[in-house]
Parts: sequence; structure tokens; C-alpha cells
Amino acid sequence: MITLGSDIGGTFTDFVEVDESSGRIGVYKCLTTPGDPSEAIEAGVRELSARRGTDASALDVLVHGTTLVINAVIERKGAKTGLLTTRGFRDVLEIGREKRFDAYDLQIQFPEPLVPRHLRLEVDERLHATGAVIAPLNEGSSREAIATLLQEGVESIAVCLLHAYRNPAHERRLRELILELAPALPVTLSSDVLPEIKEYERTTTTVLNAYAKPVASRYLGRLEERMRSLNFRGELLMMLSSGGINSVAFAREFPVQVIESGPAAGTLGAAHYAKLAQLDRVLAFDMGGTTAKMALVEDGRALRTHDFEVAHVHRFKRGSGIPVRVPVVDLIEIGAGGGSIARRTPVGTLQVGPQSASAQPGPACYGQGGTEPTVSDADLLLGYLDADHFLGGRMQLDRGAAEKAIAASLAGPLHMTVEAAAYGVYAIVNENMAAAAKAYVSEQGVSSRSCALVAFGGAGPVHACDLAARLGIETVLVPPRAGVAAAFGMIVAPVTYDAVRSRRILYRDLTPRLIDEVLEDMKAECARHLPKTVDPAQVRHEASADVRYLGQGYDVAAPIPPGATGAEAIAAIRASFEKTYTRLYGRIYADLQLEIMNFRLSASVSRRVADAPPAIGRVGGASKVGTRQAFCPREKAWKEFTVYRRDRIAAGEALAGPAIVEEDESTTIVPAGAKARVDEHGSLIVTLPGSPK
Amino acid sequence: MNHAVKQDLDPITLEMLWRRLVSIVGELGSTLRRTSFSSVVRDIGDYGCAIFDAQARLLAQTPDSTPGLCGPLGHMLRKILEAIPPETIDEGDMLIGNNPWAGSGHHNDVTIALPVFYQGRAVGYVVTCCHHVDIGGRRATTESRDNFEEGLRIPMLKFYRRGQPNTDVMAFIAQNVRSHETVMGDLSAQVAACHVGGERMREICAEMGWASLKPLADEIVARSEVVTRAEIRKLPNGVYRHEAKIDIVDGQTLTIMTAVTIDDDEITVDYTGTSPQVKAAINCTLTYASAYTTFGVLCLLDLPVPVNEGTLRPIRIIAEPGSCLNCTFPAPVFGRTAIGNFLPDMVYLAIAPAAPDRVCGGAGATPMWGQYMFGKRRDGADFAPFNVASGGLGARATKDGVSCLAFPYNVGNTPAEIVESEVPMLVEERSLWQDSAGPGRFRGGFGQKYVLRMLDGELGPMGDVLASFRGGRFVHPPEGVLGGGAAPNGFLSIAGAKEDAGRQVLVKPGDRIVSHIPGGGGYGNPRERDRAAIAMDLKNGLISPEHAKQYYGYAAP
Repeated sequence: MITLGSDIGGTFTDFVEVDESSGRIGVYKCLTTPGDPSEAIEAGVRELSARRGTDASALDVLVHGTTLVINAVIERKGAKTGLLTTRGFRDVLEIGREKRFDAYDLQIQFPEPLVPRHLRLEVDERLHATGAVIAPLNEGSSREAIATLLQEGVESIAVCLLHAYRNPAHERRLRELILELAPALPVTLSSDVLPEIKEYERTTTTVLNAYAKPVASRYLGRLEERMRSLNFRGELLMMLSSGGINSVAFAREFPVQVIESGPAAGTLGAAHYAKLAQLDRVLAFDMGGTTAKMALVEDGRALRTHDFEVAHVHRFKRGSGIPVRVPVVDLIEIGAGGGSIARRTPVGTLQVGPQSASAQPGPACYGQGGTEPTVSDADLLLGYLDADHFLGGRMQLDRGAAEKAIAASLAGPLHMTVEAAAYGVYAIVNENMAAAAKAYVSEQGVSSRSCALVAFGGAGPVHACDLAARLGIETVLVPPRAGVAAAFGMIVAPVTYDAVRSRRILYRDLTPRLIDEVLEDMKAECARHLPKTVDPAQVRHEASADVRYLGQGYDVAAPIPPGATGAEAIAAIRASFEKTYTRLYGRIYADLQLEIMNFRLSASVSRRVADAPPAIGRVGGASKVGTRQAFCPREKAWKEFTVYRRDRIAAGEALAGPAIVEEDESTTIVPAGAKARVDEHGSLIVTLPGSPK
Repeated sequence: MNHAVKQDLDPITLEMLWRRLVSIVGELGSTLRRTSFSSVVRDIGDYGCAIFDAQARLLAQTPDSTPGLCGPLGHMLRKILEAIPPETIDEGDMLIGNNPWAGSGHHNDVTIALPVFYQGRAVGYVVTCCHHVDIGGRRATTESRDNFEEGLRIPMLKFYRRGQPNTDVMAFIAQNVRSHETVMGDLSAQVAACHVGGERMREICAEMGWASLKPLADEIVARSEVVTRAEIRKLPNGVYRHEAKIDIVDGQTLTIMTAVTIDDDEITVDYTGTSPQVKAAINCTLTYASAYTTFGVLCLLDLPVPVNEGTLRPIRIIAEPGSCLNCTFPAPVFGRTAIGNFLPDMVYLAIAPAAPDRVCGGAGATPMWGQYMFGKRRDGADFAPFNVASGGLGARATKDGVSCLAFPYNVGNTPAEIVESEVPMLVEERSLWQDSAGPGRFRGGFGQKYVLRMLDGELGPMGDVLASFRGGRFVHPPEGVLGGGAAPNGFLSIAGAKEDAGRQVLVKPGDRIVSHIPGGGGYGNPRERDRAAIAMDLKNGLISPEHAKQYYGYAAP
């Protein structure tokens, strides 16, 4: 059984292949091919097949993650899309929620709607919140509206009618009418994509799906074609934003579900190694060139949310994007990466990010013409990066350029030494990440002190130990192959489908019959949408209800234990609501009524993946390769650090800080006083001493 | 003033600690927002949190809360400390009060302050204020004749003494408010938030080995003041005036006289000449009027630092005692937003010639439009929602206004599907109102048509529904700026009869409530508008051919 994970990133397309029978693992990276990303996939599959000495027919499963959908939205390269909606509501997309995301910004702007007003047409029909028909669908005027959209040349149609989450009949009839006039036109119904109350978020989600559908379909067609030509006969699966995977047919129908799969997969990869190391609560920390991402993982599972936005006007301002209500791994993104630019502020302090030197021109030390000092420049001057061995020696770093940038922009104007300024950059970027992480975990009712940190991404392990110290975290884990964590995460991801039903009802009015009906209905929907290859006996269902105190505006997810039905499920909802509420807010109100907003059912099937063998001890020879001077962030002093090659450290080998552990994709800084070891799965585990007194 | 800033703290540590203070107020705000039962706190952000040093200098305040709640916290703290001098405060004391003249202008907003001690010495204050669901007296109404009718007046008192609740004060409050469990619960949410803030401030002292936050506060305040003054210097000196008419309840018109003076590095906003205080309970206290005016000024300045004592020092607000912007006790004040919300607009309209690239046209969202409904559903459940709908933002120097956007308050709408699942009515229409944007080189954002219909029969309410409405601009529309045109007047009708805001009305099954909420004012001469932009608005049906011809001189090719 050979499983291949492939993740298309902005710069690189990564591949990880696991052969369960032999335990062999293959890793490959090649440049992304933006014109047709499936080209890079073909190249990678060919390369790994060649290494195996077989063709793609030896592959059993190919799991694929792509940024195609999100790029189509950001670059506005999706289909010309029309929207049909209830009379009086054509402007839902443009009116939005009427709130400013930045109270002080008079120049505020929002993203242009994906469908312009002249392609948003109304039909005569009306449903009540109970699903009752107040006015039947007027088919005559509907046909006229459809004909108008077709004349305008739309390539895809979204249908979002009021209360269709409760009664999909009018939307379904509209689809029939559209297909009568245009049998091949892609149609997206809100009642299929997101049967959930709140018309603005349902419309944006439905429209985005319609907008991406033709693009996704063409791309997936090309990918399948290429794989067929390579003689691939296995199963092609797609990575979803939720951290699960599903079939290509599913992704074609619901491209909105694959909107941002990379970070979800990376988190899963981190979660996998944390679980192997028996860490039950971890903060997955991925720091790359432009941003850092963090996600809380408990018992090997990433937290999920449905509050997601894309195409932000201001990248780090919540509320400035287009809301997409799909399940996504709950992570925060901070403008803190190797390329983040440091500058003197007008009040004479030092600030880092969120602006980034990106890949072009990149940090000053890349020698590509960048003159602004970045985090990577500071990392180099502090001795954390080796100018001669960056990216396994593929890129020579320019120490002089880094020094010049920091001296000119920071040290000079702030009257500090270059060293002090470089440490300032390192400290401030870590402090920024720590502040964001603290706020994020405390909103989950968790203290950062109770977490371990799992660091990956190019810059993650460089900053992990100092970040951990700022968070009161004592254990830092750097998984093997941290540079291809997302591709690896795809291999361990479960097959999933998530269903939702909006049923706004007082808790006291819940009946066993109602809850059983809703659960059965969602279960049937899950069965329809899981890949055909799934064994129904292996499907695990997790039900929950979104519950609030009557009058409060926030819902709390109340899990319903597996197998619970009827009265038992009803009792369980209150119990788990109160448990979660207490954790989040510290108290409950026994006298207040509860109200149910939605029911959710998540179906998943874990794919059995053999334990990957450790990526260590291959090269052999002494793990110590030298020493170098570096600035110890813990002792705030220059120290001699012992330098290790990661691939030469044997399982069980212990080492003591100050130490630098180098691998091709990253470098781990182990401060003085810390201890590190490599566990039997290949993870580097650093234990930090308690905070210095 | 000597602008040289002493360098006691290195730039790295200063940045780190400054940011930490800002995160502390963020943590306070999110704690309050998430645990509060008051929907105005949760969804409208009607709360404010701030931290101060031992000299009551503002260090940081919540950026996303309502200006009217956040802005007055400093003044409120100083008034509390006048009544309860610092030397009479013990560790573990917690202070309370709701005087509208000291704080945010009406009784529902109750302030709780925690003096923070470290190693036995006062190092600062955490102050929180939130809008409570009830404060006794008459229910939410602008009909109160004086401040005494407006519910419980809480003097400056100790809510906790040395860590122990002051049960006398608590009992007094609990006995005088409706939904007392919720009110007491929200007060304890404020107490909890204060404790979180106090702990974080102590952590900073401990980490730095400081006995006081003074060195940090000195740097923050001094450096912020320097950059704020430098920013004001970019504006040309002069006195910039504007006279505006605004309509309030019962078709009355008020005059707001605004004079903005730029004097090198200071800004003064002077409302002398503004109409006297009015009978209706919509008067602003000076503290409240100052908060909204200051907010307007801060939006205009491009400050590189978050608000603190230093950014506020160069800004001065003046209004005559006895005017509707500086009412005298015991004037009724409950609905003070009806006047106070206009103040940022007043600043922009006045200062436009001096800061043409920073201002925007009049806001169609001001004053706030919304409906309160009280009734019973057929299943016996009571309903009492408050739904808000906003007009368009005014046009800016380089872009059109945003359609349907709250300003200067920041309240989102309630989704139609949520409205209909709570209240036995239909939202028949919520759409951009054609021709509702003030024309200009850049036009205002569009306003909206919002039409509700009370259902009848099985889906309708039990009996009649009592409703009251907010809204305005019925007589005086949102103005354009620098040659931009005005938006149309607002319009409200109930069951076909034209209505005014403010009155309580009985709504019967089948009745329609129609609101036409204006767009924002335009910016610059409409004849200079980009022809392609006009054509696009025409294509999208946002403007009519007649409007295009009349205001833009544009005829479709």
C-alpha cells in the first residue's frame, strides 16, 4: 500500500510518499507551476515512481491539496457567475453585515462582491422561517431571470433563497428550470452547500462555490487526465480545509470545501507527531517566510471553526474579507515570518511586520537587492542561521548585506549596537507571536502553559524555544521532515464529510423524535457524500449542537456522545453545553433557557497508515559537526553553541543546550540550560528549564 | 514643551511593554464581550475598557468599542478619585458609579474601576464600563422629563472593600433594576475583567522589577504626545466653521455651530452658539459630546500609536453649559446618541478645506436607524428585539463611500432570517436604495430600503405589537462636502402613514413598516466624476438615467 501526499504551495510543490509494506518514505520538492499546477504534480509522481523503479500504477492513493480555489478568488479569475435570489434581496452580498472592521479608518473599503449587481436577479417566491411556503415559486418570472443571466453569458449560477436551509424545494425547482434552458451549466444551491441560517454568510459561501466550480472542474479534469496517462489506477482524494479528505467528485461539486487545505494539512502532520510523542495538548506553530500560523490541537485533533474569511482587504484584519462558512481548522495567522520587515516607528521603538519582503526581493541577506532588515537578517547575525549552509547549502547568505540593513534602518536611528538591534528584531517578532497565541488559546479556555509547542516551517524551529519560553511552555517538538509537513499531513488525514442543519428551537421544546430525525437525515447525507470506497462499518460519527443561552449572541458547540439518541441525546446536549460554557466563561446560569441554533454531524473514517519509520540515523557518523558563536536568548549573552546535523542524531541520543540542530529545511535553536533528544519516531524534543529566577 | 524624550527604556523593551498594555485591554474587552448578557455589549460593542497609571493617565483603551463608552473613562476615573481620594483606597477595593456628567452620558452605563496594587503600592487602575440591560426607572424612552426619571443614580461608591463585596451597595442596585440577575451577573463580569487586567499589570511590574509603572507611562505619554502634535502641525492654522441643522424628535430642528481651530500643534473644537438643551431625553453631557468629537478628530489624524493620554492632550472640546452638547443637571439624557452621533460629521464638514484628503461627506447612517418591537408570538414566547439598519458612508477624497455601513457607532444588522425566526414578521425588502447616494466626484455610499411586514393569521403575533423607531434626516439630509451633493432625506412610514422617529406605535398584523435610509454625502463636483463610474452605476441600476442626467450631466450613449 503506497500513499502519496502532494501539497501545492506558492513557491514549491511538496511530495511525501509512504510505503506501508516496506516502511520506505520518499520526499520530493519541485517548483510550483502556476500556469497549470497539475504539471508539477505529474513531475513529482514521475520522479518518485522512477526512484521506486515502477510507474504510477504502484500507487494506491494520491492525496492532493491545492490553492487553486483561493487563488481564483484572490485574483478574481473565477467564472462569470450569476445569482438568483428571493425578491427584495439582490443586494445581500453588497449590504453585508454593515459593520466597520476598523473603527478609526475613514478610508475603509470592503472586497467587491464576486457577482456584480446586474448579474444578481430576483425571483418571486417566499418561504417562512419554519419552511412554510408563503408564496410559491413563480416559474414564469424565474425563467425570465434565468434567460437574462444566460444572455449575459454567465458560466455558473448560484441560487440562494431565503430560508432554503429549512426548505430546499424552491431552490431545487430553480435548478431544474436552469438545466432545462442550459443543461450543462454548473448550478450551486445554498441548500446543498450550506443549509445554515443567516443569509449573508450563506450567500457568500454559495456564490464562492459557484464562482470556483468551472475552474476547479477544469483543473481536476486535467489532473485526472495526467494521472491516467501515467497509468495511475488508485484512488485520487482531495484535501479539504476541514482537515479531512474526500473524493475528486466531491471537490468538483463543492470546491469551496478545498479553499484552504495547506495549513489544515500542516496542522494534521504536527498533530500526528505530537500524538506519537504522547503530548495531548499542543500548539502547532508554522512559521514561514511571510506569516506564522498557530493552531490548538487536543488529543491529536485540531480544533475547528466555521468562521473563515478569504480575500481580505487588510490581510490581518478580521471582518475585511469575504466570509466563507465551511469547516476549517481553527488557526490564527500573524504577520510574522522570516521575511517580515523590521523598522523604527515614528515614536522611536522597533516594530516587526506585518509587511514582508516576501520572496522578492526577500531579506537583505538573500542578496537579491533587498535593503530593508528582516527577521531572517537578524537570525543570521545572531548566529542562528549558517550563511554557508542555508537550505542545505543551496543558497549563500550575505552577512554583510544583513548587517548593513540592520545598521542603517535600526541600529543607527535607534542608537543601539547592531547586535542589540538584531536581538530586538528576534525578541519583538517572538513577543508578537506570543501575544497572539495567548489571546487565541485563552479564547478557547486554555492556558498556554498547559500546551506543548510543535514547530515546523522554515523559520519555526529557529524561533520555537524562545516563543515557548514567552508562553510558559516547557516542551518543544520539531517533527521530522518539518519542511514538508503539509504533504505529510495529507497522508495521515481521515476521510470526512460534515453536515449541518439549522433548527432554531428552544431547548425545552426539543423532542426525541425531532433530534432523531435530524441526526438520521444528516447521517444519510454523510453516507451519500463519502467516497464510494469507504467501508460504511468503519465510519465514525460525531454529532453536536450549536447552543446558546436565550438572548445571548454566541453559540457554544455542545457535543452529543456517539450513539446517543432521543432523550439521552437531549440530556447530553445540556450537560456538554454547561461543561463547555464553564470552560470558556467560568460560570453557568442554571435558570436561563437554552436555545438550539444548529445541529452538526461529522462523519470520518481514519485511514490506516503504518507508523512512518524515523528519518534518522541514515547518514551515520558523528552528529556533532562543529561549534559556532550565537546569541543565547535565554541568557541574553553570546555563547558557543554546539552544532549538530539532525540526520546524524540517533534515536534516544540526548544533547544539551546551547546547541544548534541543522537540517536542510530548517534549524533548531536549543538555548543554554535546555535539553533535547530525538524520540523513536524521529521527532526532536526540547525540554526547556523552568523560567529563570 | 521640550520635545526631547528621555531614554530611560530601551526601544525594544518599550515596544514590548507598550504592546502588552494594548493586549491587556484587548483581553479585557473580549472577556466582557463574551460573558455579557447585554446584547448591546456583545453585538454593538457598547462597552469600554482602559488601563491607567497611578496618576490616572490613560495608557491604553479598547479600540473596537463604542466611542461614547470608551472616551469618557478617563474623566470618569478622575471624578471617582475626587469623590474617593486615592489615600482612602485600600488594596482590594473596587469602585463603582454611573453619573452621566462624569461618564458616558446615561445611567445604563455603569463604570467599575479597580485600583491596582503591587507590593502594597498603587500602580494603576483598570476601568471598565458597560451598557446594562436595565437600570430601573422608565424603560428605554426619550420621554423622561428629567434625569431622576431615568433610573438608578449610583454615586461614586466602593463596590468591594478590601476584596469583600459591599453587600449594601449590591442590594440597593439589585432592588432597583429589572432583570436584576442579569444586571448583577454583568457587573460581576466587569469585576472579573478588572481582576484580569490588574493581574496583567502586576505581571509587568514583577517581570521588570518595578515598583511603579511610571517609567513606562512617562515614555508612552510623552512620545505619543510628540507624534500627535506633529500630525496636527500638518494641518494649516486657522478657524474652520460649519453651521448645521439636524432634526430631532417631533420635527424639531437644532443648530450645531462648529468651529475647529488649528493652532500649530493643537486642535480645539468649539460648539459655542449651538442650540440650548431640549425637553426630550436626548441631551449630551459635555463628557459624552467630547468623546464623540474626539473620536472624530482621531479618525482624521493618521496616528502611528493607539489612543492614550498623550494623543488626547492636544485636543480640546468646548460647549456652552446649558446647550444640548453640555446640558446641565438634571436634564434628561437617555437617548443622547440622537445628537451625539452627529459630532464626527460636524468636525469633518467644518475642517474640510484644511484637510481635504482626510474628510468624508455626511454619514447616511447618522443618526442610527432601528426598530424596537415588544410583543408575543403565537407559541407564547415574548419577543423584544432591537434591529439596526444603516445608511451609506460619505464619499472620500479618492473613493466612493461604502454602502450601508454603520457610522460613527458600529452596530451590524440582524440577518433577515434571524429576524424572521424571532419575530412574527417578514423582511420584505432589504436593498440598496436607487439614487440615495449624494452625488460628487466621488459619490456617497448608497442607503437602503428596509421594508418589514407584520404577518397575520397563524404565523402572525398574538395581539398587537408595540414598536418604537429610531431614525432621522427627515428634514435635513446628509450633506456633501467640498462641492459634493447631499443625499436625499430619510423616510419612514407605518401602515402607509408617514411617521417620525421616537414615538411609540401599535403595529397590527398586515402593517408595513417602510424605512428609506439615506446614503452618504458626495465629495467634490459631480461633473468631475469619472464617466465610466457613472456608466457602471447605471448598468447596475444604482442610479437612474434621470439622476445621471440631473447631477452628472450624463446621458447614456
